[in-house]
Amino acid sequence: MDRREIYSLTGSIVRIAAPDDGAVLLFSVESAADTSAVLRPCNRESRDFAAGLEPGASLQLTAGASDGVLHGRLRVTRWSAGQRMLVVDNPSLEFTQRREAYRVPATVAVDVLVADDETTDPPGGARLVRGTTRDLSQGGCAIALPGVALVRGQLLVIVLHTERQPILLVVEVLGPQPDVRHTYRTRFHQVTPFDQTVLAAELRRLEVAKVSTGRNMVASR
Amino acid sequence: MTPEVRLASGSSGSSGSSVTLIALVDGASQLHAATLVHRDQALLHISTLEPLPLTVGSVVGVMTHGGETTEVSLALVSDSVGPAVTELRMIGARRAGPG
Repeated sequence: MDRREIYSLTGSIVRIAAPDDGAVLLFSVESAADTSAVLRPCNRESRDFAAGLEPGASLQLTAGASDGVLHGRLRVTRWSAGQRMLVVDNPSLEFTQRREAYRVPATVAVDVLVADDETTDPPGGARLVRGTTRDLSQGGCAIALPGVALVRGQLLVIVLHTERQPILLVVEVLGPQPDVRHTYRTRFHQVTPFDQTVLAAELRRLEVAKVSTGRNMVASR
Repeated sequence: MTPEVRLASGSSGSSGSSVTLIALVDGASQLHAATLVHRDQALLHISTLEPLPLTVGSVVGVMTHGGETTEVSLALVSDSVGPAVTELRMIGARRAGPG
């Protein structure tokens, strides 16, 4: 398992969540050395959250890296009210390379075919559940899918509604997104060559739209 | 929670198992209930109440329900075997990788 240290995130924004709580709060890494790391709340909400933490409380840290994601479990040492800093322990973080393909943030509608023995008569039916992607690449996507529990390794048939046309794919569930509720990371397991080209065109469209939006924002300043 | 869903190429899915097909027709998703009639490696014969409105070469998603487990795969409509029996050819998985 590839592990990295918190000090490599010094100056970076990290996402902090309490286990079993969907709220995600932003902190920046002030410093990390020896057995302690210091996190600075990025806003009032983060500060209020940190001020209410008890020593020993457990937190989930997630930070994006160019080639994957870092995540780990932190333990609160204390909240420094004077300096408005949260002091935590300094564990190694787990680095996971989730996808080898470049991903684009994208909200694309997805229909997921799920087995449904409870509402179909006779049992053995299926239904479509609507979700949306959070990001997309040639290799997979993250899908926000409220109300459905998926398990790691599960294979699903999905319909991805690209702007050009919907495409059918089979995806493998890699697990839940570490810090986003009801969101699952998936890898494309089966896709036809033609649909691969549709997917590539969609990714290019999304990327061009992102660049265009950025230019417009700069021009309007 | 949904039952475990895995692909097991060339296995399971005995005759009489229920099958759900998902097809894209004119840009819309269509679900079809069917019954597995015959299975031989990557070939499936499925029976439906009415002939499927799918042309040969259409890509469909297949979910085969078999007790505690369910298999899913993409398949090509490869032939019409009888009035309401359709032959499907399973599509192989892409190479494994980080995705």
